[in-house]
Amino acid sequence: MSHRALLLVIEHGYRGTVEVGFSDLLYVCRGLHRQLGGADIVLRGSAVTFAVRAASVPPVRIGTGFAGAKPDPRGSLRELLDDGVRAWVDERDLRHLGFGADQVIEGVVPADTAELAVRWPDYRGVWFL
Amino acid sequence: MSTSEKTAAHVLVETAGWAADDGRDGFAGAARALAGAGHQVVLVLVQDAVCAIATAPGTLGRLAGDGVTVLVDEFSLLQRGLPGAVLPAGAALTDADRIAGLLLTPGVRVVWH
Amino acid sequence: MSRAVVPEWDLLITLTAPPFGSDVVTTVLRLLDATLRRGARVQVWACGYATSLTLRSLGEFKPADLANPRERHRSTAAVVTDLLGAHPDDFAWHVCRFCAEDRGALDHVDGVSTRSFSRFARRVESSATTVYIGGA
Repeated sequence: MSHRALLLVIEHGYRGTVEVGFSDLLYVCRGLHRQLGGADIVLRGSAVTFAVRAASVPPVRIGTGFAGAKPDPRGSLRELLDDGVRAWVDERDLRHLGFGADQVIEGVVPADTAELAVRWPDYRGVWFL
Repeated sequence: MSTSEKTAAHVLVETAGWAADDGRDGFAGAARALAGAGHQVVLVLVQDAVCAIATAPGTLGRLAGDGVTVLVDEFSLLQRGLPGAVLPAGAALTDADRIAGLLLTPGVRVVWH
Repeated sequence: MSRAVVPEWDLLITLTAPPFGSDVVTTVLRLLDATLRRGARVQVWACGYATSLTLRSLGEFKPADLANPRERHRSTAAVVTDLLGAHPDDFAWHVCRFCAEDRGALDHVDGVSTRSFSRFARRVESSATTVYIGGA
């Protein structure tokens, strides 16, 4: 059996354009996937919002200028999927936020993410980010 | 699955508080799934997670019955005014030294939540 | 017959959770103390606001209790300095440069290194076990 190095679990969604900017957790996942021999991703809690298609968000204007770099977690997710990363999103948490399966970004698999724990031994590490 | 993979201990460290009505039951589901698949599982409760001895004693007791080793950090209990609390059947007190020993076990897989 | 590579470090703790949001720093320091007492070789990689734990500007002591001013308590920077001094070959503390720079936290006590995120993988590969503490 070939093992991916890591299973990365994200439970928190948007954490601020000004604070986090471009370096959201899915951006971090790109780096970890590249550096550590591959990663798969699980999205739970408010992080399920990263897995649904969404309209573009305008930049944040504060005072006379803009503040913070525009986050693009869905772009990062699509890039990861294109690179062969497997991604699951928690079904229950999607429903809890009123999202349907038809709103999920193509390639992300709705699942009972608690039951995914049986796959944990397939990975060298399971990291809750 | 290789023998070494099957016998490697999975140490799940839970630090977050469990709400009594959460329904997601923290790491309990993961611990149960892994133990059910034949893995050696140790669930270590530290920080706010030790409150589960009050909010979810049945869950912890069932996990112990399912073969999960349930350890509760005594220092965390003391800090939360719970030193004399009754542990669910099958759960045991632990301390930093024993947790350190778990983290240093060769081949151990540690998941921290 | 090839020999298995023995990792240079027994344990890597990657700490991304911020101090004060929970008692995670207390937990991590307790575990560092316990693992080092067992003779293990341990390294820490600090990310996010955990990068502030070893700032030189923290000085040696935390602010005093005005009701009890004679009793002084060591800052986290001083605690880490103490551990580095007591275990010079078995303990290392690294700070993620990106996170530190993003927080204006680049001046750290002696013995603490700031490292590019591109070096993080090397920390993982050189450790027998990695414990990733999320929450950034």
